[in-house]
Amino acid sequence: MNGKYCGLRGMSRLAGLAVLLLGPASAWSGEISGTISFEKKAPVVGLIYLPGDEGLVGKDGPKLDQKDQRFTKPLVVGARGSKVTFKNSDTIAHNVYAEDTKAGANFDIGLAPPGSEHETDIGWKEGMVVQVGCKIHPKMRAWVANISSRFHQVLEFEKGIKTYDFAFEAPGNLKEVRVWLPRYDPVMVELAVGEEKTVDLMKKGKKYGTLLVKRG
Amino acid sequence: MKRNWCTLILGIGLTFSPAWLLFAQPPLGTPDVDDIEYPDDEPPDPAVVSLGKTLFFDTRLSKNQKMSCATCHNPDLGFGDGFGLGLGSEGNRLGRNTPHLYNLAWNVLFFWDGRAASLEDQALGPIEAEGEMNMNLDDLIPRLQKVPEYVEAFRKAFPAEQGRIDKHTLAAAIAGFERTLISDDSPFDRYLEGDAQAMSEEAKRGLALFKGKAKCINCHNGPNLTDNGFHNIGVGDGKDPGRGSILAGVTTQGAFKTPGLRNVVLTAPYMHDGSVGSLEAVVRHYVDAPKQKKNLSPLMVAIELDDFEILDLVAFMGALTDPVEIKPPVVP
Ligand SMILES: [Cu+2]
Repeated sequence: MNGKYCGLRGMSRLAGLAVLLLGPASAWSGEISGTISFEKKAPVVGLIYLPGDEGLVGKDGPKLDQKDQRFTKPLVVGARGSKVTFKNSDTIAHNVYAEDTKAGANFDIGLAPPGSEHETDIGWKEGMVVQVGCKIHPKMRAWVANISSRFHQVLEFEKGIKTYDFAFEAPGNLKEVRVWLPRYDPVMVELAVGEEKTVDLMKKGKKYGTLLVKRG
Repeated sequence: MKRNWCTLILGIGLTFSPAWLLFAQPPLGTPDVDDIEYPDDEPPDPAVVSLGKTLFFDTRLSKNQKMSCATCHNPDLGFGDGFGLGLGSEGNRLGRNTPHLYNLAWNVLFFWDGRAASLEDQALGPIEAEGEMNMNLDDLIPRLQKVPEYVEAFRKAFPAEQGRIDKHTLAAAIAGFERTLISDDSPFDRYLEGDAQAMSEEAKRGLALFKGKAKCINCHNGPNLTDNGFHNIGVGDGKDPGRGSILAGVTTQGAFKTPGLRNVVLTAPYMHDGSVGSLEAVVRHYVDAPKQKKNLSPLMVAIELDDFEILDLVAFMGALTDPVEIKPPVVP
C-alpha cells in the first residue's frame, strides 16, 4: 500500500458539512472503508450504501443538470417522497426520460428548452437505481437512485484507473453494505464491527472486479 | 497495480468528484480508443476480428447467396454502396440510405432510427431482414457448420463458448471486425497534433465556420463529428417517422441519427434517404430553409453562408478523410 488520499481539503470541508447535517460525528463512530478494483475497465459510476436508514426521506430531492451535451453528474441520490429536479443549463434543448418497467420508473419530460427545470417524483421501487437519458442525445446517460439512507457514497470512476479506495462514517447498527454498479449483479455484504470481506463483482456471469470492504 | 485514492469522503450522502467536472461542448478531436465501450470491456481477440472479417465478405449470409455485408457496405465505396436507397438481395429497393461504418466503435445506437442498441444487435438485423439478406439464422448456422474452415475459426475465436456457432458468436465476430474500422489519421487529426500545414487554408477557414456561424458543431461534435443523437432536419417528405417509430415522444418524430463525418467525402449520397448527392448540396440544405418543417428540430435555425464559405466548409469536410483500406479475405 503506497497510495495516499487526495482531495484532503475537500474532505475536511465535507466532514464539517456532515456534522452540520447529522449532528456530532461521534453518533456513528464506525467507518465503512475498502477498495474496489476492476480487472478491465471501470464503469462510469458506482454507488455504495447502507440500507436501513431513513434519513433522506422527506428531505429536498437531488438536482440533475444538463450542460455541454452531458449530464453534469453521473448519478444522484434521492429518497421516496422527494422529487428529482432535471435542469437544462445548456445552450440547446434536451429531454429526460426513463423506461425501467422493473423499477416502475416510466416518465418523459418532453422537450426541455435551455434554462428549463422539471420536477419528477421519485416514486419507483425503493433501492432501485434508474437510468435516465435524453431522447435527442442517447449518449447522455445518468442514474437516479431511490435510496433513503444518508449513509451512501457515489463513486465516480475515472478513465484509465482500475482501483479505487472509499471510506465513510456509518453507525454500527447498520450491518448490511450494498454496492450497485451499472449492469453488474447487485452486491450485498453483512459486516460486523471489525470484520472484512472480499466479494467478486460479477456481470453476466463473469467476474469483472473485486470489492474489499471492512467495518472499522 | 496502478492505485488511485481519489474517492474518499467523510461527509455522508455527499459526493467528491475530481474528474467528472464540466467539459466544454463535446470538442472536436481525434477519437481515443480508450473511450470505446467494448461489450467485454476489452478489445476482442484478433481471431474474432479475423473471423468477423471473413463473415462480413461471405455471401452465405444471404438466403440466395448473392449478397454479403460488404455488398452494400463496400470498403471501396466508403463502406456504403453509392446508391441513394439501399438494395435488397432480391434487387428490391430499401427505404433508407446505406449508412457508412467508420468509427462505429464509438457509436451509441445503430441504424438511422437507432433501433439497435449495440453493434452485435445491429449485425444480425440486415441478415435476417426479409427485404435485405433474408436469411433465417436457424438455416444460416447449419450452413456455416458445414464449412470446416468456419468450424475451426469459431473454435479459435470463441474457446470459452467451445467454438459454438450461434447467433451470439456470429454477431460478436462481425461486430468485433466492424469495431476495427477506425479512421483517425486524417489531415484534420494531424492539424490537431500541431502540424499547421496539414490542412489547407480553405479547410482551416471551414473549420472556423463549422464551429462558428455555420453551427454544424451543434450536432456534429465530438471526435467523430456526431452527437450520436437524433434530429428532424426536414429532409424528405416527412412521412418516414424515423426515430419516432422506435421511441415515442415530441423530440423523436421524423428524427434520424446524426451521421459521423469522418471520411464523409467517400460516403455520398447523403441524408437518411440518400436524396442529397453532394456535400455542397448538404450545406445548402441548412442554408436554404428546409421545405418540410413539421417537427423540425429547434436546432434548425437560419444560417447565412456565401458560396466561398460553403466551399470552405466542404474543404474542411475533405480534411476529415483517412480511408480504411480493407483487403478482401479469402472466403472458404
Ligand atoms: Cu440531449
